[in-house]
Amino acid sequence: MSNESVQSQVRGHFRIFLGVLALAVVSGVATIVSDGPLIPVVLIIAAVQATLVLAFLMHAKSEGSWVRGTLAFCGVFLIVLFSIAVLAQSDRIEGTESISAPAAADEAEEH
Amino acid sequence: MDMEIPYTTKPRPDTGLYNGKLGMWLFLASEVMLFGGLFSSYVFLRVGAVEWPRGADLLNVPLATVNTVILITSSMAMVMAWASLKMDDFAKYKRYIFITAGLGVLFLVIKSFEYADKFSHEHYPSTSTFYAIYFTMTGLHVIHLFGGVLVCLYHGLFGGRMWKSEPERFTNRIEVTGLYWHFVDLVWLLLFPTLYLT
Repeated sequence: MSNESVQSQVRGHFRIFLGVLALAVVSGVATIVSDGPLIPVVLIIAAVQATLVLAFLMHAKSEGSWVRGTLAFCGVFLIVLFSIAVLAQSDRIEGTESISAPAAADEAEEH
Repeated sequence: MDMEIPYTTKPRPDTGLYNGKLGMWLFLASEVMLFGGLFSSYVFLRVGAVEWPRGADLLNVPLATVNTVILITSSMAMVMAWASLKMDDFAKYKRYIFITAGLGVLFLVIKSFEYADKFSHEHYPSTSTFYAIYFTMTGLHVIHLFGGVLVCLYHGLFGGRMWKSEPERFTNRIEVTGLYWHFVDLVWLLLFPTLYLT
């Protein structure tokens, strides 16, 4: 790899770095100045940041089928894992409705 | 008989990856499953809770935002360390790898202040479900970052020998260390909004 090609790659990474940085500051500042929750906004921003880091800084975009296959497997694994968590709540076993996780907010306030 | 380990620098024809890179990607896949399990536990606990506190009301968002900026900057420093080796500039590489490790240490110091503040207010993992998952997830991330800092320091302090004898192999080592470092950064980019901003 020639010096020019490395430098051009670094310039590309620097642009990604600035983008990820700006998005992080936007998320933090928006939460501090807003009164209500901004859950969808901050989660979408986080997903964009994670994708940028994975695709460009970790070079997943330019890797071959082995890396892409590994990532695809991880993606399927995560989908199944999160589905279990959501399904467990939407399809509760009869008679267990009264059993719920402790009210975290109440407990935190007590201390 | 002297046998050389194949594919330490050149990619294997079938996978298109050298040994270290393939090993690191497989390791990172196992890490995705580890952190994925914790994130899904968080979702499970949160959707099942009668009430869940807003992270911003209990945690220090400005401090966490500063830590996010530090970690993203450290990722760029890691890229510069690798690029310096690619351009045969070992002195510059050393500077950048120590900047990366230094920013990692700064993150850990700020995190320790955050933990100390929580403990001084008697907020422990046993205090509530929220704090239990907060300390578990951030604690595991801290352990990963600490490991990354140790590896960067090792490569900064003792990397010179391998650079002299096998420069290409050493550059590959820094590339896979960078993969790990970026992954730890990526995990924090997801932890920050999940725990602090929602």
